[in-house]
Amino acid sequence: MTRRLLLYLRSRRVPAAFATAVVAAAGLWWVGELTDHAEVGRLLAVVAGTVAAGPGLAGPDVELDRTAAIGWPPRRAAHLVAIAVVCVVAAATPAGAPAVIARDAAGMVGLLGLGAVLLGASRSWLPPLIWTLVALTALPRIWPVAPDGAFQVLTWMLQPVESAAAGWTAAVLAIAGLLSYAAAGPRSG
Amino acid sequence: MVRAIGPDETIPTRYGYAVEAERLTVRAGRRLAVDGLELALGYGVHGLLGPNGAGKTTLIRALATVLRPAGGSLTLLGERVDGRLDLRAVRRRIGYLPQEFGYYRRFTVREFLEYLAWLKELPAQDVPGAVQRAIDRIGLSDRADHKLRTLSGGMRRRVGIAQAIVNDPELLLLDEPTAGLDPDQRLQFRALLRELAADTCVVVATHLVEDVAAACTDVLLLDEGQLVFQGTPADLADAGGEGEGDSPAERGYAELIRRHRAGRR
Amino acid sequence: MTGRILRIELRRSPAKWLALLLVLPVLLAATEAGRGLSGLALSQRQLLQFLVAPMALGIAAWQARRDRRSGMVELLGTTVRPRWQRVAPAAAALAVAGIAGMLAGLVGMAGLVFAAGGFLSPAALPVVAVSTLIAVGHAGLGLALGRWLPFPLIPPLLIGYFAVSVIVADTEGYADPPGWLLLWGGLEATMPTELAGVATGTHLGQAVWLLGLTTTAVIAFTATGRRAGAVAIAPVVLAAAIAVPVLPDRYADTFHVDPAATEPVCTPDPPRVCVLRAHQPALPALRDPARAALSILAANLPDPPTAVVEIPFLVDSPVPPRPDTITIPLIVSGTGRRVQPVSGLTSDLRWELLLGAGTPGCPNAPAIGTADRRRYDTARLVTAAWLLGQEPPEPADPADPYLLRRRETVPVYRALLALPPAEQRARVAALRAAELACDGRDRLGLLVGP
Repeated sequence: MTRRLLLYLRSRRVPAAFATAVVAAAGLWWVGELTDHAEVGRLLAVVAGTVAAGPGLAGPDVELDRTAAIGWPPRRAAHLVAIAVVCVVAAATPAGAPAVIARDAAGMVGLLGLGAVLLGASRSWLPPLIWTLVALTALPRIWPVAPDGAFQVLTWMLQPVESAAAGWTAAVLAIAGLLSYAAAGPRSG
Repeated sequence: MVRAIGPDETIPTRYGYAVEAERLTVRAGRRLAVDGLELALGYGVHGLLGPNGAGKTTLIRALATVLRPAGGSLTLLGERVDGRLDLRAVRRRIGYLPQEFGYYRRFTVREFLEYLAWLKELPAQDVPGAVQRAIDRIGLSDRADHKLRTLSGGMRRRVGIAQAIVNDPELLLLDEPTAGLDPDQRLQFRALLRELAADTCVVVATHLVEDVAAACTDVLLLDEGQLVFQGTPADLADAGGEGEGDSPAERGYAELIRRHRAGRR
Repeated sequence: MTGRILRIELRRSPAKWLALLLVLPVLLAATEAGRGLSGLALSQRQLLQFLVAPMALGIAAWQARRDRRSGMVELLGTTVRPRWQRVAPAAAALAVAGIAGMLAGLVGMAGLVFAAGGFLSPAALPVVAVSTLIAVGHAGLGLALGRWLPFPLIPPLLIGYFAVSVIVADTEGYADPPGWLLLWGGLEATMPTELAGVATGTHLGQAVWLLGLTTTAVIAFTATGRRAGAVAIAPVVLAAAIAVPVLPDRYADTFHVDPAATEPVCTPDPPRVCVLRAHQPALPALRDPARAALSILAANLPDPPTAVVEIPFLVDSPVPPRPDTITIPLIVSGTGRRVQPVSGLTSDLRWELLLGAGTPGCPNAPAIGTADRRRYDTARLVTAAWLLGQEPPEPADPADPYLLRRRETVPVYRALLALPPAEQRARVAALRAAELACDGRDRLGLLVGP
């Protein structure tokens, strides 16, 4: 069982992704702490972990995987959940706000799963990254009225833990991503 | 369409053989894939046969100036290529089709060939004509403006052949050119080779013994980096005995390899 | 022939997506068109630097790995042209797309501003020019990084770049941001963007740095060996060495009030009502309340002002009051047509104009938040109420503790009305005189004291 798990991890290039995630998370956390932007640093650490894990959501030959005799859905679901757990651990270890990190990780990994289903594993990292990018830079600048429900949904990853709209958004993304990726698997090509 | 011939093409060639190799040694990784090869190839179609790992692809790559020889001398079209750094003049006159032919998926056939013609420094006014001629010769005239990703594997292979001949090379190197071609296309390809044999030195590396037997003027058999046999396809068939093989050429091939390996032990 | 290849690359490479991406900030900033072209250009710069530039980097990195992705490396190695000639059309396509996208954006912005009647400020042109350098420079940087780094490292790199942008280069995190932060390319204005002029040194410094960065990227991208890659470092280092001294020492020194934007634009007929050039679409919105206020003051004061002039809303440099003119700072909406007062005491323009009987408030007024300040503001608000003949209203946001409540202002108003009519006029005139002279006397005492 362990041997099979190790082979699986190697085939999905998980060790390299894991190393990248840890280094990126540490670096981003450090920069965040240093410049007093701790929350943004932690958020970007979660995003970095998600992005690094994205290409590993599909093996080298997606069609071949699809013809395998084993049942994929529980395994795929476990893969996604494992990514989320690793992100939470990597971003939360230097202490602080695990609830926010858990919400962000769940939502980001859900987006990653949706990205894998819609765009293929090699591009699955685009939705989490681009949404975060736009939310951090453009939306606060152009939103015409004071922050309301719609704004909180669109910038869910930036909201404090008390924001119900952000929590629900993250939950919806997480569940949608998990179910669709487990059921449909990554798009080929 | 007839192409205008420039003055430099009517000058008689100043070399005897298109390819001359003396004690040629080429590495593939750390292995000596080509070991002390002696070659002299003139105009005609030379088929390169041999088992896997014999060094066929390595030899082709060395002739295409992708790999630098580790030892010995290599002279292509009258110019030494083993020591020098500036291979541009020689490369203008070479065409190469790699075994793993990569392509830009979004380009159309015509655009891809124009791009490669430009890369080979074909004069600008000659490019449209040369590209059209290459497209016609490989039989893709009706697909010339379709994107490469819409073509089947066999058609893409033919585009690969087209890019190798677009600059009318004097030395044409083809590695597995008939992979993915259906029997009819293989026949057309053999006809193309025979047409080219008159004024080009063509080296075709292939596993398909029948292609070699049908289209080549000369057969080279490689095993473990060394030249085992050089002769006409008829000589190859004559060398065969009662051993395995479904055609005289295959029997000759099997026999020659067996003899070579027995001799080495 | 190279032109033909360039056209092929423009058609078939992701260059066209880069051009489209560059038009995006214009669309996002379109709601601000009424505030003039320089405001749009500065908004475009911020969106470009923080949002679009990382994406341009990603697109270029993807393009740089095209040969490897397509499996064409070996075949290309046997062709005649050296690497720099071979990759030039693809790189040039990105540059052309970058410039074309920015030009289209500039035309679009100018069109939007013209349609809104806003001020087509020439100060916007150098901003857009340097923004173009940012777009092209990041594309070049992406090409160089895509060439030398394996593709799995590119997304984490984008996150790192983005993190530095948002965390380190965000000027709002600093009390007094240093000038070298300008190297990051952003221009976060310290005053309303439509009034801001950017120092020439800033443009020059940013341009030099970006040119150095682009040169380095181009060398690194076209280099064939690692040694040539090491040479590539030189231009960017040299550019930094030249740029940092040219840039202002403090980030805030970058911005000064643009004289062209603050020229007055006035009504042709008396009484004169003027707005700033940058706010010219707002003149109709100011004109009627301004003339109403002037006629009220003329009816009630012995020496009334005869004009209303808008002054720039600058927190750090307040303007002394003038007896013959009401000077008023304004905030203008994105469409340019709606105007808002800045004092926070009222949301009605007529009330704002009549505060303190047509005075803008003194620089030596008590600090905001103190009890003395509330007395000061109450006196000014009650003066306006007296002039209009209405009780002071409840503030717009009752939950805000800083706004004046009716229970503070109405007793003062009633106390003023309790005085004899001649005394009321004298008190109001005295308050106005005190405001014009900006002495330190207690205004509330002046108004309703003994």
